[in-house]
Amino acid sequence: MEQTREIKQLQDGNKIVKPDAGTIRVKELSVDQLYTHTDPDAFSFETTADLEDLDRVIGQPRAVEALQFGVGIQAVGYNVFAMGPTGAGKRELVREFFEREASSRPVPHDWCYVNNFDESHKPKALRLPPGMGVQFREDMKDLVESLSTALSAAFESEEYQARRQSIASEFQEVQSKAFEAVQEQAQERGVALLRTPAGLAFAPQRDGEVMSPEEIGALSQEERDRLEKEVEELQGELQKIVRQVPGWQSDIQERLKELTQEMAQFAVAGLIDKLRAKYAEYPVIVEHLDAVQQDVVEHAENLMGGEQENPLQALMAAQGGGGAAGREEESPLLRRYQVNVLVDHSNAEGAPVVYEDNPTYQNLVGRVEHRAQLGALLTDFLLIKPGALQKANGGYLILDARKVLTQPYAWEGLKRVLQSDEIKIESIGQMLSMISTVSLEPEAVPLDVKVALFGEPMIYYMLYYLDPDFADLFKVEVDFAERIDRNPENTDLYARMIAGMTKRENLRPFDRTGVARVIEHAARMLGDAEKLSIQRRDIADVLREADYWAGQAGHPTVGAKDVDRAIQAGIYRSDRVRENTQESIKRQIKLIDTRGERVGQVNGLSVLQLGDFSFGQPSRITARTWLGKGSVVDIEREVEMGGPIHSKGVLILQGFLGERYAEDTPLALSASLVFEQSYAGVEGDSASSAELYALLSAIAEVPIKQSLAVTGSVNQHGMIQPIGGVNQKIEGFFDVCQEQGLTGEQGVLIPVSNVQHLMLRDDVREAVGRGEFHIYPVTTVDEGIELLTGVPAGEPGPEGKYPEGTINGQVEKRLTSLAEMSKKFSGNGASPREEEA
Amino acid sequence: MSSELDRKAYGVRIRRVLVAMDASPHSLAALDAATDMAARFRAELQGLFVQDLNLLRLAQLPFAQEVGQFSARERRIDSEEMERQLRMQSARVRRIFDGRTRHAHLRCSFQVARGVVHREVLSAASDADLLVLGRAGWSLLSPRRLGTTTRAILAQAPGLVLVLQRETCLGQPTVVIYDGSALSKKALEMAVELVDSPLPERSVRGGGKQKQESGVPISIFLLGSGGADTLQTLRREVEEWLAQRAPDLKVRFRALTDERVSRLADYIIREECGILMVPARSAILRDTALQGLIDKVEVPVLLVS
Repeated sequence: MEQTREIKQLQDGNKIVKPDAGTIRVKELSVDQLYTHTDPDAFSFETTADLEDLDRVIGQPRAVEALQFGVGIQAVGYNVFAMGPTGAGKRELVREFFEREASSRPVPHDWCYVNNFDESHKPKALRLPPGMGVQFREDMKDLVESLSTALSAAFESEEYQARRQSIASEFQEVQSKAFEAVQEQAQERGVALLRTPAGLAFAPQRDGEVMSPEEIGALSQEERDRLEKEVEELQGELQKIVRQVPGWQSDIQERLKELTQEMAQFAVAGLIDKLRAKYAEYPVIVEHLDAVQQDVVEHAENLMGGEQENPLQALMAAQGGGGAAGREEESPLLRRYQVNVLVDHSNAEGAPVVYEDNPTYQNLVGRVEHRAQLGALLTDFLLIKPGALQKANGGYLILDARKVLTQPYAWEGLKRVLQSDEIKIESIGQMLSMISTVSLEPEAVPLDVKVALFGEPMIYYMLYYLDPDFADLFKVEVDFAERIDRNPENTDLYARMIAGMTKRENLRPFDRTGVARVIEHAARMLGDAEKLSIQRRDIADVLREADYWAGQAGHPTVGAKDVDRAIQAGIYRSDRVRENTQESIKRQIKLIDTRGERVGQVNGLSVLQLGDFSFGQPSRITARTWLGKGSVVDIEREVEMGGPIHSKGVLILQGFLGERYAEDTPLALSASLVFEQSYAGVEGDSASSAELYALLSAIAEVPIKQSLAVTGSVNQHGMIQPIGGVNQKIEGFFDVCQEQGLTGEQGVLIPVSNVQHLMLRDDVREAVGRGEFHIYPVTTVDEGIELLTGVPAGEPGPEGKYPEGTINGQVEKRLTSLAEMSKKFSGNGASPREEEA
Repeated sequence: MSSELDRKAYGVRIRRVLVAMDASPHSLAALDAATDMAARFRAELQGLFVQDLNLLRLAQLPFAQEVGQFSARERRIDSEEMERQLRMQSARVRRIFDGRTRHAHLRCSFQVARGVVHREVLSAASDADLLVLGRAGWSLLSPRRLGTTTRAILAQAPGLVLVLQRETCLGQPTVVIYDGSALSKKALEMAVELVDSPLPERSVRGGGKQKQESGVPISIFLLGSGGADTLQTLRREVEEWLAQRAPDLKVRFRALTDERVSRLADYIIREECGILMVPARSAILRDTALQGLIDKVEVPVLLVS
């Protein structure tokens, strides 16, 4: 804080600078000091339509340099984290930078997935020059169509049919010749070859019929033996033949297969050769075409015969094709030869810049979809879908850090890709080894992408401390400022920024008064007359709303009035709670006095923040004192309604009291401090000066003017230190005074170092101008108490005693008498140490 | 002449269809064709399975052994085993018969006989108007040859015999061999009768399989030994008869002189014949030629005698 400089000086000088004694030394602020105007006439333009767009970002030299560095450096891990408050325009700026850089970089390669004929669950990734992916896909589509026709023609040709039949009949011939030979042999020997239900058997026959047992019995023993022997021999012969049949069969299958492959080879070679010639320069394609050709030849018969690879699919097709299989016109086998163009850069200019709005794990690293078929989930390489990383590969990817972190596993997925330097598509289930259903393992694609995350600083620091990988992966920190200095140069730039925003949003041009008013508002938003907010979101809101009101009023351009209207309307929309508070003061439900005097009672000021709207309101702070052991009871703290900073402020008071008034006598006082009618918590130390005034008033028994309100924190030396929300606080008290009637006495004491923050409302300024309201910049507690009581604070005399008739003198006197009383009550029992405590 | 082709004289009435079955693919085709025919003519369908007496005799032989058709292993067989196997085979064929005729809305019956196969078939066929059977029961021998049993039956068949090949079904066009003989006239009548008797709406088996043929339903192959004049006469004869019998019927004529008769089978194959109707005895087509023809064409053949 600015105040530290002053305190340091004080310490260096080793003595306290005291104001002149006697009179009221603080001079109230003049109207000019309450508001820093932007002079519309200082602008050289009439309306923003005259202004050129700003081609650079204002007020972000650090961020811009970091981005330039981040975009330029090509080393691993130099990804960008753009941090800054929400609405600072981080994404736009990063995008702008990336796009400018991307336009001069080469268009990256296309990526396609094709079937891997050796291991179909590991599709192959092909890297092709931009635009060639689609071309190759169309060529393969045509090829597949021609394949069917070519194969049909080949297999329906007379040549093929004739050769096939000849091979088949050759088998039949060999087989029947062998059996017929046995049969003939049998017949010659008077034996019949019969077919039993389970096999073949020989039986002696007579007249074409098998001999009955009686007939056999009638034969001589010799004859019977002969027959039996014949049958045995014939059986031996038959067995030999039967054993040969499987061999012949597999032989024939082999030859049929050879024939089919020979025909298929001939049919498809021409077609594929044509493509091979076309893509001769691309070895990956040629290699794939070789594999295709081999596969077509191997599966030629299936491709032709309409045999379904999968019985389920066959069933679906038979049922008239409900479901996915029915919609697909091509046979599932022909799908094998198609090309899945994952990333197509046909019409691209420069490298891609991708912003992924919904960075789920799958939207980042890509996914493998499934089709349900009769309850089973099937997939193939054609169902691989790209994620943002694939789309941005070779270029830039922009992501919202908060979204990435809130999506399950998205952060882990992103990190893994950046660490491994390749994009591997795995489902979350696979990544966690949770499911083991058959899925694909597509070949990984090498990564060449610059990632930019953007988010609030908190996210950056949390990631930095909690995730050890973060620092390795996002080495470029782009830190966005939220404010710029309010000087003439920046004011001009600001006007041009407004011009750019109005044009981008298609708003009416702002005239110079409108622009000036917006700039003033930008200062007020920060609560600092010397700085301007560059929160693009908030400014854009004001611009849009002002444009709306200009439209309502029929103004061709947006002027100061429209901007005012927009600001007022915005306040009105959100100030219901403020109105309730004001009303309860008016109806004396919340007790606030703005006239008269009271001992131990002062008007403190606090700020309430509701969403993006904040307002000030007075609170009555009271102090009571009694004989005790030197402790100040902070009632807020006792009931745990005071925050730690508030408690710290109260303890500082104690330090101040002890040092100033009880350096060498025991502080035999107890005091209690309370925010009256406060039912919620109190936090912050901005009321500590008010509490001190109430306490001094109570001890000295000197009344305080209720027409004044106080803000500012105090240190142990009695210096008043700056606080936040000074404008809102002043306006809050002003509203109450106005409601109860301005007497000309009323006003607010503010820390002197808050003067630079003043951007007060018109009505407050006007009242000050008329002398009906006063704003006093206060440096020390003594100045403040003089203003509040009208009694001099008093300087210590040569013996360190404060003179009579001053506040300090009164306080000292009261404390001394309390110490004596305390001594009287405790007799000689109490030790000094205890009293000090 | 036209009076000879009177419907009464050569009219065919099919009231009972007998199908002789074993479990071979040929005989399945026969069953389908028989069901088809029975449905067309609203006839009764009778299935027959003959337990081969020869096998039973074989089983009684002291040295009876069978060789497994695939395993090539020798096994001892006895009567009990054979009886059991034949019983099981009968049951299996009956199941097939029942299964395939269940939805045919026909009067059906199935009987199992025991004896020498061709004799039993012929004896059962004496009551039937149409006998349907497979070309051969046994696939190990040359497919180009009729089985011995079928051959024996054909040789003695008294009436209409339809011989089926494996996996073929009845189709169009009907090819009729016409040589002017009484039998060929009967064959012609049968062909017209078949065209006139379409399958009923509630089709016998899988309506989808029934091809809705267009084009000429009947092709008549004229066979004559007397040269072009004879063939011309035969043609006129048929045309006159058709003018009375079925004036709207479209037919196609193919005239074959004597020297081209040897290539009859080729012509029939080229005609993409659906069913072939042949007189069982023909002066021009001698017995061996007829058997050769049946061996060669792979379509259903209806022998008329």
